[in-house]
Amino acid sequence: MSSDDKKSFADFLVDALDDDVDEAEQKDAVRSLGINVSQLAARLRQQVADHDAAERKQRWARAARERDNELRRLAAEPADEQLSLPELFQVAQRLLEQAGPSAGMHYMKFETAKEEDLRQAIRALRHLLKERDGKR
Amino acid sequence: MSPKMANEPADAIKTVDWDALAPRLVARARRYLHWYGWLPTSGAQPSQLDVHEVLSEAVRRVLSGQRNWIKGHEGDIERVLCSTMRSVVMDEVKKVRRRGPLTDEADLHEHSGETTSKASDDDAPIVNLAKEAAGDDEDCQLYLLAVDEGNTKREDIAAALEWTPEKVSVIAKKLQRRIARLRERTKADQIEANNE
Repeated sequence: MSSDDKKSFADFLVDALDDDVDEAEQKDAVRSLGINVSQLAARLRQQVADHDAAERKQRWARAARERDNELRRLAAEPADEQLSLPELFQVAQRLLEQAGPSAGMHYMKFETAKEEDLRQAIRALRHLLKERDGKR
Repeated sequence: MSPKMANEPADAIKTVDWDALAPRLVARARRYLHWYGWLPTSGAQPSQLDVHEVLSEAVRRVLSGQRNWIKGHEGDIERVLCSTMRSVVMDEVKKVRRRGPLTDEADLHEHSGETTSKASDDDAPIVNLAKEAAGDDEDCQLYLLAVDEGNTKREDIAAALEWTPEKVSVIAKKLQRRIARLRERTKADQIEANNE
């Protein structure tokens, strides 16, 4: 069914009569209603500007919330930077156990890894586990 | 033009030249208030809902992202605003009618020959107004018949009546003017009655 099938005679009439407004009709409407066009235009500009400002404020508030959440998340993570090499091995071992055999395949020789590589592996494992938790 | 434009009405409205557009929007808002609803009011406004409110609410709806481009007229923000104003007026009239009949409104219907029955959309003020405006004028009556058959575009009405499109425009303008006069007369009578 097309949208026209649902239309009444009244709808058809308005569609048909609602052609472009000519200058005479514009002038008559403005005069008979006592409307000051400059004031009306200024008010509409202000309405758009107010909406824009409110929208911007909302966007900033959302961005600030997201930034705060990210900072909280980073603060909650263990400070790997302060761990010694043996402690890093322990953390990596524990995370690998949590991640399971499939993840372990990628870190088979982690015992011989350099400190920086080990830190990177820990970050990657934490990320993997967090993503997996998020999906549960 | 692609069907989904990056620049939606909610963005396009932010760059409107309001000084140029406002008079055209005012005239359209008055048309819709004349055609869809004629509610008791005081002062010069044609309805309980005034032209400023119609326009402001339409702008609000477009800004909030509730409105899309009119199919086939993507990028035409004036058309979106006019269509939104039409919805605003229709919504308001429905809302008022749901609240129950208004005595003054019934009086006004009586004056203009409108029925107070709301059984169908064909009882909408515009139908009775157009019939009254057409009167005995044969061209106006033929125009209404062609529209009643679902012809709304100038070219379609012209084809149905074997007229030129220019003649269709002349008859449409004649009906518009007569409808406006009927509305203004009713308004003047209402103000006079209120003053008595």
